[in-house]
Amino acid sequence: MATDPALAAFLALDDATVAAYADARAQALGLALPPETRAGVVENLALLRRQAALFAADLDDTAPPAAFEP
Amino acid sequence: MSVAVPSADFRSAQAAAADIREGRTTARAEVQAALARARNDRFNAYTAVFAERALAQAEAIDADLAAGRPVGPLAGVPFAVKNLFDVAGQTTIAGSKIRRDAPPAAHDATAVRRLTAAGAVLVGALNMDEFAYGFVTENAHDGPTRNPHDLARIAGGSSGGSAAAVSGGLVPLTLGSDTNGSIRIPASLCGVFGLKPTLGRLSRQGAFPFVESLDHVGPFARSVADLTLAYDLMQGADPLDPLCRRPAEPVALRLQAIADAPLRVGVLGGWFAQGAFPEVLEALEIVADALQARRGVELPGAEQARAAAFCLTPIEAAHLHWPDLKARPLDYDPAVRDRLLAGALAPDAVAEAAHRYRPVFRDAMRRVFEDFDVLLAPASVCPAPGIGQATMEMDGQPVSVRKNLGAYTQPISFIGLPVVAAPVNRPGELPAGVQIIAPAWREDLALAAALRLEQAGVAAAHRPPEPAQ
Repeated sequence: MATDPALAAFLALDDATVAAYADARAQALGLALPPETRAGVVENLALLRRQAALFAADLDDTAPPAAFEP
Repeated sequence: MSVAVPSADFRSAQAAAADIREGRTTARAEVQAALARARNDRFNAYTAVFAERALAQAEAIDADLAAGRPVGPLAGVPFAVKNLFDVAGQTTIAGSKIRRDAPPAAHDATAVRRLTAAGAVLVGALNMDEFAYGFVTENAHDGPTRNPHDLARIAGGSSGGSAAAVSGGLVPLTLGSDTNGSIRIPASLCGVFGLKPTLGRLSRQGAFPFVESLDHVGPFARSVADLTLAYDLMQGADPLDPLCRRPAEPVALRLQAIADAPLRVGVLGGWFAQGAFPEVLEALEIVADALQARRGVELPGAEQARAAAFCLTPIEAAHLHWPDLKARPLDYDPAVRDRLLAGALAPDAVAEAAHRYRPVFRDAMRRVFEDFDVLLAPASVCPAPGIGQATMEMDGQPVSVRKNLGAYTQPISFIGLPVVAAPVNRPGELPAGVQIIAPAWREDLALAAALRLEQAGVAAAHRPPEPAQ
């Protein structure tokens, strides 16, 4: 279960609310999204959210990730 | 008097080296011919040619041979590299507009240096998707690389120039990089052999990073012997790449013995069978039959691993590109820019979750490998799509070409396993390749399976059609 607030909030979005999330995040980060990029960015962010939901929701996120060995 | 240079040379790297060593030709003549082919490149594989450096090295090799001094195993053999590898005195553009003003590299990348030390002669740099983010090599700044088997189709990416240059007979050996499939997919679509080694096996020093957690470098060649030799020559720990700590474990001299021994082979099912085009499944069946493989091996978590790699990629890459994303976003290739910007906006906790999933999936794979030496899977969903083709059909649904060509490669690179992409010998058909996946640090097993297929005539880098006169 995702306990990280930022992750939980991201996973809780739906496609209709991703655009508002993107605008708020861009403002918070000081990132000016050029108008010609916004639709593509929102579409890609929505796809990231859907993909993240496939693996992130049920992981134990209380321990920090360890260095990975193949 | 000028001598006509053939538009292609399909000798192996080792055959060319023997011709030079045994006096049937010179390093200078070989390099001049490769430079001429690079300048008359029909595939848009090259983005730069290094004539002065290449000819100087070739002349030094000829002088060594004339004086009876020892030379390396690839002495005089031309090779080329994806344009994200540092080449001393050249700007490393990594397929971008943004880096064209960067200062030249002070040194060769480790992989370039090691091949050069073995006598191979660097003749040029090769086209790629911008910053290695893509599977198509339809670069907004340098144009698309064309597939030698059908010039209207893509070469795959992101190491598309590297695959096309080998496939089209411009050089016998190239280097590329693979973060999510960028060696295996173009190798498959262009019908050549490619090796993505274990994460940390080959030094990435001097290769412009994309996603450092997932980046690998590796060779392309038209034979398993050349692929293996290039791999051996680049092995060894490198203090300049913290992941590259292992001493060299050369494979070439023991490869035949491994290929002759029994191999337990499985074909991955589930995720790796979903949405594949019939040609791809036919190619996989040919290989599975030849290796007497057990079908339908289940690998739990593959779809999740693909999703985790898909998410980790833009988030980690956006950190690297943050200053340029803020200052000059419109200088990026639009196909890359929007994904990087989305990655910048996603919370880092998604990337952390992806990292947490890596050992989960690695352990699932280790359990599968208790019963197998190598596993097979398609390299790409389909044969090469057309240049400019935005969508393709998977399971009856139109999906993005760019976002789905790597469906079968991403789960494997996510956990850093070694893979040989082997071209299935289907003359007259568009190329289709198979992934031969081995346990971590067992490149020898994947190369041995590829050698067995090559010797059986099942895998081959057959020649593309001759150009119309």
